[in-house]
Amino acid sequence: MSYREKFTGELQSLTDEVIDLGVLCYDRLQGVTNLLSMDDIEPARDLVSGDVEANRREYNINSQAVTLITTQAPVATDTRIIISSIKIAYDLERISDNISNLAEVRKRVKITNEKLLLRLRTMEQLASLMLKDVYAAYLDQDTSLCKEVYERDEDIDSLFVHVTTSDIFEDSDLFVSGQSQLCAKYLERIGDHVKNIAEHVYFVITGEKIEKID
Amino acid sequence: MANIKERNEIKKTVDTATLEDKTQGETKPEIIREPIFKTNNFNLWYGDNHALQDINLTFNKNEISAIIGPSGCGKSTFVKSLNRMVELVPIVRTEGEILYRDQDIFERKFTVEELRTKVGMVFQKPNPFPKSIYDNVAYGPRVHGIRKKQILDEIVEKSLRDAAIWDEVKDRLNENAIGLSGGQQQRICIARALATEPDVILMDEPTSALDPISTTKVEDLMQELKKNYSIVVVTHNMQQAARVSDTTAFFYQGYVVEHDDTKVIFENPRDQRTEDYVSGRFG
Repeated sequence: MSYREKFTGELQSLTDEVIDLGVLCYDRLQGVTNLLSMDDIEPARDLVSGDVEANRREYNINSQAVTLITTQAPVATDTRIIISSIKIAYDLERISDNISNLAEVRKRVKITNEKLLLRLRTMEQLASLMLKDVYAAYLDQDTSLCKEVYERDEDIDSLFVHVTTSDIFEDSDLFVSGQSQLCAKYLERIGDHVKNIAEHVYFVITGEKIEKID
Repeated sequence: MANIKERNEIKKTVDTATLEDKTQGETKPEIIREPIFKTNNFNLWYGDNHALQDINLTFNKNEISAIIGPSGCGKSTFVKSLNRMVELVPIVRTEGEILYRDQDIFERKFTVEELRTKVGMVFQKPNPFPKSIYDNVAYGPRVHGIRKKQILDEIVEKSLRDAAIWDEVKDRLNENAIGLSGGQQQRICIARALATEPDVILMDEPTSALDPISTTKVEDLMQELKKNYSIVVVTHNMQQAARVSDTTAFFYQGYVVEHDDTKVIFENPRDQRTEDYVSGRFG
């Protein structure tokens, strides 16, 4: 096998690792807001401890990327794939952290406000769809889908603004409403990280930064 | 509701502020590029072999221009055309123009000697004359009729200093240049090229026969030389082209596939063949 073939294989395994981490985060995200209203606290505890795996995988991606940079002196698309793998892995790891933070909230309080839960659930689903679509955008090398995902973060942002400025907390006690606001913040951050990933994927494909559509 | 309105107001002011910052940051001082070599539809044949096809390139003053491409793509032939050395091969035929400072180098009134004084060349293998270090560097000026010892001394010292080898050889100028290391010999050859006060230095794989330390020295030297000279360098070493040059031209099968700022060629080339070549997929 030529060096170039070996290098191509190693690049492929690097991107596969990033995709695996993405799938792990996607799975962790599913139903995270349902935990907040659950009577049983165990699923939340399990979710928190699952973060270790995401950290381990991020570390592996980084060390593989470092090895490729030092041994292959990559250029052009190869460089973009390696650098973006590091960045995407970081964003995914942060998404996983925020999922754990959401689960941590359930260890402290149980949220019963249905109005609020509905909004949080919507934020979760929006983020989850963005993550799914950014993966599809990578597979199909679809730049317009990258842009779309990038723009869709605004939906989560406006829900966040809505949750934090509306009167849906009026009945709750102060501690519970504080914790609820944190949940909204964590979900909003997850949206931001997926938005970043869309930017990185766009960069891998085009070598350029996403121009905001006005 | 009032809250949201207020937020939007704040957001607007922040947005416009960052917008202004951005436009201010983008006004870079424009780099003025002065062309030194320009080729217009240059073609070259070795007998029936059409080795260079419609080459249109511009090299600028005080820049390092790299030429890359797989073996046999015509890059050495092209560089040797720039000082008409390629004419030493009897079966060569050319068409089109090569303008050096807006003057066609193939015009009758432009002599080869005049051209080669202005356009010096350094080769892949260090090729010092089997003479003393001093005589190697003084060779060109002597050919041009300079006989005064004092002037020759000055030229030799300046050239050796410019080639970053003065400190290593100043105490043994009368020793034979063949006794030096490969890296030192190469810098002696660069000094020899500098002694005739050229304008452009052509380098045909100047470091491919050198060890990494000598290579670094020659590359550092190129950065220094670029302040006063213009350099065209042929290299097989991708990383070298990426490190040292300002612009890069990619030759393939006698054509120029892409010529752009080095940053573009190595980070985001426009042509798939360039991408494949610089990332080692062929060649």
